[in-house]
Amino acid sequence: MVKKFDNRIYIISLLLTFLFLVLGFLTSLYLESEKKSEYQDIALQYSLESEKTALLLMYSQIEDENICFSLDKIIDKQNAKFLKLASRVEEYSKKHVLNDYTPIKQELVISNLKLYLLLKQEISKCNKTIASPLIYVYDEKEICPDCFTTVKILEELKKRCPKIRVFAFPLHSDNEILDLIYVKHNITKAPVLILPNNQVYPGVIDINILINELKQDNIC
Amino acid sequence: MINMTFKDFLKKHKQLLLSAYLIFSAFLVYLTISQPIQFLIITLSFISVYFVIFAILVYIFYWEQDYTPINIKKYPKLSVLVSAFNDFPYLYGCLDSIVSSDYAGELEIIVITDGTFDLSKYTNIISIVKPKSFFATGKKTNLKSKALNQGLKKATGEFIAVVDADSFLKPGSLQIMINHFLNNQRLDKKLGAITSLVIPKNKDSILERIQYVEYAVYMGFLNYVLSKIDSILVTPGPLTIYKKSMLDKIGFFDESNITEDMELTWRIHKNGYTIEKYEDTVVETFVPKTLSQLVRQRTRWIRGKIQTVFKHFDMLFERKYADFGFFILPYFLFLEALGIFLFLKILGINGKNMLEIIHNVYNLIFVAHVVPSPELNPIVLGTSFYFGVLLSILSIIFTYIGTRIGQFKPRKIDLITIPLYFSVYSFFLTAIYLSCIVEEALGVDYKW
Repeated sequence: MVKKFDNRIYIISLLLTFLFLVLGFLTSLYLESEKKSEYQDIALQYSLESEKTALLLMYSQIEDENICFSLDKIIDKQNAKFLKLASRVEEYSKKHVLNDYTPIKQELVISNLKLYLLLKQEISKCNKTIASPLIYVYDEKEICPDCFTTVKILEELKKRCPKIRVFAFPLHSDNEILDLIYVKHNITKAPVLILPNNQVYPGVIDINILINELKQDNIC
Repeated sequence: MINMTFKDFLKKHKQLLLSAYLIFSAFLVYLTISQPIQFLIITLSFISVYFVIFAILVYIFYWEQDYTPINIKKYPKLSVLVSAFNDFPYLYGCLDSIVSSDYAGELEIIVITDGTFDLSKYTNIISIVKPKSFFATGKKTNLKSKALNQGLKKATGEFIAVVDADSFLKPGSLQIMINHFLNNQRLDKKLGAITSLVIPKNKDSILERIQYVEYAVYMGFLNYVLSKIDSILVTPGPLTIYKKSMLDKIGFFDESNITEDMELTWRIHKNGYTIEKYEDTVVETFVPKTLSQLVRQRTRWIRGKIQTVFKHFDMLFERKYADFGFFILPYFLFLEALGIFLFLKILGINGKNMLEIIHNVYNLIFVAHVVPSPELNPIVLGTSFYFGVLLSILSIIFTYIGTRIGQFKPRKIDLITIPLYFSVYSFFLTAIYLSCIVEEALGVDYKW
């Protein structure tokens, strides 16, 4: 005997579909929030580390102690950590649409900027230093294939010139100091490299030109 | 199930349903304006999930296989139509399976061939049925529908079984199907056709096993669910039994359509007849062994479907065609259109990525003078991944039920087959779909 088809199945299916999708949405939201708070913690830790470095520099200025070598090591360590973290957060925020990652990114930019300024200060204080800062400006909003190429160039440059410390900053940011740097160097497009001697190189550049330029300043 | 009518249910939860509907509509309007791509993805997910849940519920509440045959004193005369090209290699086996199915009533076998036919090869078969009930006919024709119509004109049975020449019936199939037909006809006077489960005869290579899974899911599970809401989209060529009086009334196969079985199915629905699928009878058929054969077969199916859609476009969203016109047709056409859109989108994204990679490598080598080193970036899973996982779980349940209904017997090789079925195969079919749309739009002739 054929069972009569019950039309309520249509409605039950509809309700279950809603439930299922809401469940999917909540799961995604929960997992993303977990990850976001993990990145927030790392960003906070990073910020604390740069605070500590700033204090160390302040101490050396007050007590007139030579801490150049250890300061350089600390900055170097933090710089390497930052590059890894920044690219991870950038990648993660592009693929996750349920949370806003702008505050974390802004916090990281501020910590990185602080580190950059500390290194500059260290250079002026210690005169002779192991590290030299190079600014890399990237575009986080527009699709930037040349930024990808520039990252590869910088990786190679770091191998060939170990004294170079790369500080990556986004082109569009609400940071006044960065705006000042960009205005000073007339930067409107990305990618751009600002060498330690303040020479500006927009777009994809031949690595040999960069090395020659750095060699003139005994950085490479 | 709950002792409440559908109307009562709607009445009781009217406010709740209306609120949910309004919230959902507002959300869709917002998405359409602000995020058109996300809107399409969410819509696709929603309708896919809806149908999968619907199918699973139908399976849970209605699956029953216990078949109790009714007593029939005299089985009606059955005409079996087999169309084949000249001395098709599988024809003997096909005819042998028909006569061996031991139909209790009078059996008439009509073989429609294209040109010459050597009767001497089939003396064993002819000796089983009455000689006057076996004959071959045929004029030069490239269309199966024309051949079948020639046979239909000669058929004298009360029921017509159409069997593909590369298909093989299991013993007892015809009798069980006719018994089931007569049994259900008492409840449903408009029952016009009955189909069976189709599974591949050849199921050894990876390509054949992928089709085995596909047949189990679509010919098995999907057709079962569609049969419950009288919305079967196609009465498969390997074995379908039609009521002759219905065919006389609504007309034979459409000779201008390359998927005559699908066109007839839609016409059956249009004329208010119903179609059932009976799970207990199985017919085995040869499936394409090579990719080129598969492309040719699917091109025919899809182009025929497009022709059928154009011919019966008036059935879409038409309330009088019930679930078939109001739910299933719009649902599947919309799903397929979205599938094509996503396919193009993925193709576009990957194509663009590929161009970017070429551009970057060129820049690195020739502008920056840096030797590119291959590196594996850590995989970052996006929001869509979580939804993807949930959708995959549902798809796996759907496929699992399909493989059960479709009598799929797993082997070790299926560790490769099933992932391929879920990934590459659907993209492959969508690509064929796309090429068929282009061919139809350009009016390219179809060659058998």
